[in-house]
Amino acid sequence: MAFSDRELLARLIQCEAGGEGENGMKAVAGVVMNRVHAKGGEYARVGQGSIRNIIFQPYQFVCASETEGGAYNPQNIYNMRPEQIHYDIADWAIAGNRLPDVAESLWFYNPFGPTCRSLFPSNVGYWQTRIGDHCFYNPTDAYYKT
Amino acid sequence: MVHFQNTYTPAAPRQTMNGRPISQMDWSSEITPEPETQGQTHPASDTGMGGMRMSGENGMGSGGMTQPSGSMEGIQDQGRQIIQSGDQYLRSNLPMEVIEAPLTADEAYRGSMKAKLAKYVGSYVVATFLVGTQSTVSWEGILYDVGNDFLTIYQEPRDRYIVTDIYSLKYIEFYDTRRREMCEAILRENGLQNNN
Repeated sequence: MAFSDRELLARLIQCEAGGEGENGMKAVAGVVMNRVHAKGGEYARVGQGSIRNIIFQPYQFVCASETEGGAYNPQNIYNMRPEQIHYDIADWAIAGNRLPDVAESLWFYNPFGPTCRSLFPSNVGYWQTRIGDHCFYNPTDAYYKT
Repeated sequence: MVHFQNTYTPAAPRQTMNGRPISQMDWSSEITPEPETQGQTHPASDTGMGGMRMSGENGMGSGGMTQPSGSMEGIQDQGRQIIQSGDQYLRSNLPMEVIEAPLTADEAYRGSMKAKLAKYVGSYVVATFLVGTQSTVSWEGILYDVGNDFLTIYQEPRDRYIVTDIYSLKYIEFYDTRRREMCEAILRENGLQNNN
């Protein structure tokens, strides 16, 4: 039986940001939901307002794929065992809540270093803030042309 | 702190009508323009605002106003005239393509709730916020300021400013103070509101 949207989001939160603390997880959940509710651009067109479409959009979330670079990716949503905190954060984000700092963010990534690049690839996003090991990016004008 | 000056004049002391406070009268037809159709009749007992200010409380009742239909028609006609004179209130007037497919961050902003809120700073509002995932709380007052992630409501009777999270905002009721005065005048003329 397919996972529900809530289950998918909880698993993704755990997989992508389980070690980032509550704020880190809330920020990642916010990014997913911001894509769901994107006003325009690629995520509005591809997602069509669906959490499932956004999570499984190809080449977006590593955790949504069982393979990465041709090799098996063990850190995927199917191997997760979400706990109550993950469901609570999923519910929180689905209800519309956002962390103010990343309330408009559409991308995040782990730089594996001390600094965040100022622009997201293809200049579609500008650096907004960093929460834990993740750098978050807000959309630029270029994004809306995607 | 600077006191915000506004044009809102407090209404006459609240009166009751058929056991319901005047403040629960249905203002929706005066705020939101309705399309004119010939022969359209409005129910004599419209659902009142209900005034659900706090979740968990039982609503103050959704019963309608029990007024003679003749006097209600006269009020509704006058209400429509008010609507026609100012029916651009709260309309965004943005091209459809800006709403459906914004091409810049600015266009996306202009079609957003933030932009609408910023445009109507100074209005008397009732803002309802989601607390957690299920409960709501409402704050009413004058929309004093709108920021990137906050909005400030000024409550004149208590002389206080409430800064709130804009991302928790679920819906917001706007009261055009000019129309509110007109509506009160109409109600007074029709003997439905007493001023002491």
